[in-house]
Amino acid sequence: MHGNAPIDGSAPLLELDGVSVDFDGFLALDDLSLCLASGELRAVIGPNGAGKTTFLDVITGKLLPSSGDVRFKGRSLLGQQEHHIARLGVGRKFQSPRVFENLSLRQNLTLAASVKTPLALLFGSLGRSERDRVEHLLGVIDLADRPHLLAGELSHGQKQWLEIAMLVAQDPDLLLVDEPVAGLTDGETERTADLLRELAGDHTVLVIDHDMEFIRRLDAPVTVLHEGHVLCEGTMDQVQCDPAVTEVYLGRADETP
Amino acid sequence: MDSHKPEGIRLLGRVLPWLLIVVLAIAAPYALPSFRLNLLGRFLSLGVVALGVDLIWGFTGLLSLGQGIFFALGGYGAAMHLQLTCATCSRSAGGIPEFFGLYGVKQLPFFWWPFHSPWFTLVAIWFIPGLVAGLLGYLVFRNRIRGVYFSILTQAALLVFYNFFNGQQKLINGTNGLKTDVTRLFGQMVGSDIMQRNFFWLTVLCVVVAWWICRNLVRGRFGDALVAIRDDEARLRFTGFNPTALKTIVFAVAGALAGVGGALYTVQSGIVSPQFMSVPFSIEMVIWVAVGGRATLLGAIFGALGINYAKSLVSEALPYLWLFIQGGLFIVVVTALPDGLVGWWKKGGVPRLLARFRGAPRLATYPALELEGPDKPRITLKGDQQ
Amino acid sequence: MTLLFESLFNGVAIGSVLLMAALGLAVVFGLMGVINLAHGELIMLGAYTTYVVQNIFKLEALKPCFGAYIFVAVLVAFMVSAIAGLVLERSVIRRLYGRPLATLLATWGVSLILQQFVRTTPMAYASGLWMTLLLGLLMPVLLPQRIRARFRALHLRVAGWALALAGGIGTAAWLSGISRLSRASARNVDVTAPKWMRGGIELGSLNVPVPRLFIICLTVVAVIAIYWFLNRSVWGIRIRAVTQNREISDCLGIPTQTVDALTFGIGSGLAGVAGVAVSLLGSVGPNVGGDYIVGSFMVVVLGGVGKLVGTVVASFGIGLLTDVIGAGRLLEVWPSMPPTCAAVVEFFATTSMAKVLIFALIVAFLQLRPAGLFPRKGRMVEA
Repeated sequence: MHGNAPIDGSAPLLELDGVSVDFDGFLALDDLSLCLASGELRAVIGPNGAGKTTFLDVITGKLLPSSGDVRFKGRSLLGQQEHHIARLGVGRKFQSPRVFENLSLRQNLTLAASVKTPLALLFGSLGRSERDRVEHLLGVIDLADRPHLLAGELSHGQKQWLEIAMLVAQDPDLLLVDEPVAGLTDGETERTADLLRELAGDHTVLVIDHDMEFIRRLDAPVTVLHEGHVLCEGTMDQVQCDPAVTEVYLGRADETP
Repeated sequence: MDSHKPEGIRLLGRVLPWLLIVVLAIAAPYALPSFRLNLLGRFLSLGVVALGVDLIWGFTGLLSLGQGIFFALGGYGAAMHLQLTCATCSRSAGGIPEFFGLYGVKQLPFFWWPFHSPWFTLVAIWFIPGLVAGLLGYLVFRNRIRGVYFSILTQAALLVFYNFFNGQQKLINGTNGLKTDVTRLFGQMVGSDIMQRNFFWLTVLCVVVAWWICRNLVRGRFGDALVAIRDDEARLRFTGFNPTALKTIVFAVAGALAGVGGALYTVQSGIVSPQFMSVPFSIEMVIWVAVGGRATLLGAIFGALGINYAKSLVSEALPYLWLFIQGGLFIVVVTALPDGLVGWWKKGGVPRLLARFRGAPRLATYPALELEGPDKPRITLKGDQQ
Repeated sequence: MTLLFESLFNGVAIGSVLLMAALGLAVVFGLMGVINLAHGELIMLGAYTTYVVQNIFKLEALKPCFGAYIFVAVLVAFMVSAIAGLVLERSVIRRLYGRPLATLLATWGVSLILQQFVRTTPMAYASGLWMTLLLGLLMPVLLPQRIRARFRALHLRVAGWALALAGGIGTAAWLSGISRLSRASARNVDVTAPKWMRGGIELGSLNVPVPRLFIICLTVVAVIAIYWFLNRSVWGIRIRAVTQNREISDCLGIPTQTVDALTFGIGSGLAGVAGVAVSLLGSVGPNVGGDYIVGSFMVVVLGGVGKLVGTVVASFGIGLLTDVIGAGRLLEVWPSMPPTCAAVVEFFATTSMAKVLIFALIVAFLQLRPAGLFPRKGRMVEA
């Protein structure tokens, strides 16, 4: 096992153990092993086609790996349905922002914060803390003054933030954040990094992105994926000096991100 | 919301529409000739069906082309009861409805038995269609069959039921269907004017109740979840919801509503037959909602009323023309009026039309800034917000 | 042995009609993702075309070659439905790409209009209208370069359509001379097969009806042609490119709009050919398309979308099952089965009840394999 054991000795929150995904002979993930400790903030980078999104698909139950195991809080996630995994405490933000465009901002957030069973939706009411969380998040994404705006009318950057806010409203233990700053301005990028750093500690956060400045600002351990497996792990500086990483990113001239 | 208005006016605004409905409903039987009243009653029962179609298609985005199944099941439930309790009808051997004799059936088929009871029937006309819809929905949704595949499968299911009912003379009189109008209920013949008036009132009541149920379904977070299914089902799943359960529930409710509508329609038209399950009729239901305005409940009811009224008018005058008009409606509504008339009205269609006539320049601003403007590109989905 | 052979032949015969009807749908739905509920009506147009062509061949001048009318009908039916499909794509469907449910409803509207059109319009006039469209659309190609260069575009267009209209009116007037085509009728019409097609051929102990054999051959030719077209020809490759990635194809200079129109036209044309087959099996009426449309959708869904192999296998599978269940074959094979089983077999041994059972089987099958017999794999699949 080459996933790094958590330093403090407690059980890891998320464990991927030798996961492979086979798309008709193409190995999108190749014997990937990785551990996330509770409360950790982790950045994952890698060139296009390194398997970053597939890796999230496997954790969230969208894809069943052809071999290997995924454990969350010590229990296997394999074969569980997506909504079960989400209810266990795994939240995911998608690569391109996906919000419910025909619902208002508040409705979007409220839905994410709700108890997820149909009966609770029909007859239950939202708890005090959930309501506060929704109002607080509306403030965080700077849209507290127009909660009735339809999400479809937001700009790309605002949608990104709304989706992150929905993720937080969902209050998962593990946040999987796929390219949160694509299409954001520099200022927004910085604030997103700060927000994610704040979240770490209470939550475990895994961030995937291409934006090296953003990753550096996260100030978190970095895992480099390449061709479906972990190429190396370390701080941003260590990783950038690693010759293998340089080769992967720069060595083949036509594959630079 | 309306806090700037005086209390009295707010109250009036809330009570007035209801008062109007009550007055109209009571007055209609006396103002209309019985033929027209009967038509209005039938169209209102189709309004109940339209509410169900609106729930699943307008809000949730599931286009079912098989609502006729549930409509007919409700109708058959009512008709079977009336056939069994018909004291004056001629009977074949064994005291069972006459048509059985024609096919040499001696014994009442087992599934007819419970329909002797009026209470069972009252429950069955909505419960059985709802149950069938729920089962069918579950099997389909479980496998994440969505979009056009769902539409195709519901249409195929419709055809299956149609074939089955058409072919089973010995069980439910096949193509001929079941007649209901000569049974006496509470001492009155079902087809009589007095009884038809009562049925009209019952239908109005059912429309109001159905509307109230749907309104409560779509108003809160449940309704938001339905719209979310329409917008991005996979996203909802990763948020922790189970779209399969939500869709099954809403499809079952729509089926139950169709069943109630079918029963009401049957007692007012005097017959139920497999034609209730013909393919065109089920697709027609969609156009009622589409014209009225998808995702607006009142739009669905008025769409059903309006289209069917127009249909009966045109068919009386120029019978060959109606299908051309209906076909044209499908095309026009889908390409030019995707939100239907009510949606068009709510989004300021009228002022926009007038502005176009006056030649006023059209606003070209960034939509997010134009919060209250007429050019909002998205549909407002909170159907009946006043 | 005879039984097996007979069952097999019947199954293949039923399956080939299904396949013929589903082939166009597989192209339009499988490649473009467009649900065309008017597909059945395009089949109907093909069937009526067969009737018109047959009546033209009954004229004195053409009588000697009456036997060959069916081949002409196949060609004309292809063109009739293809042009109807082109007009449909240009006018309605192209506005609705990316909105499959809207397309479904709009094409249903089209199908209602087409049905009513057939009921209310004499076939002679309909033929005239079609001739106008054909000439009008072909005019830019037909006119010599010299003339095209001399006039301004608008003049040329007006003149071209006027000429086409004249041609159309001429056709209508000519066909009005045939009494069967000059009156509108909602009643069904019957196509009489040419003499060489009547009767049957003895194949071993089995008497094979020739029309069935003809349909099977027609299907084989159509499948091979469409397979060759999609996989080998330049336009076929363009079609597949556009269906896989529209934006990139656009960037590469593939005229995507032309490709859309072409794909839809070909799919519709295949419906027309299916119409010829259908007209040989029974009488032709405005509703004839409806009998086939749901079945062919089932074929496409069962076969897996976008795979020609799936469509073929699913058609013949459903065809065989229809025969086995609908004719109660199990009872013939095993006459001494227990009475309860026999009752069940008999219960389903009608055409309509066989449909009921087959639908149930298809739904059951989709529980196991939601994406059909031959699903697509990999990242292209959107969950």
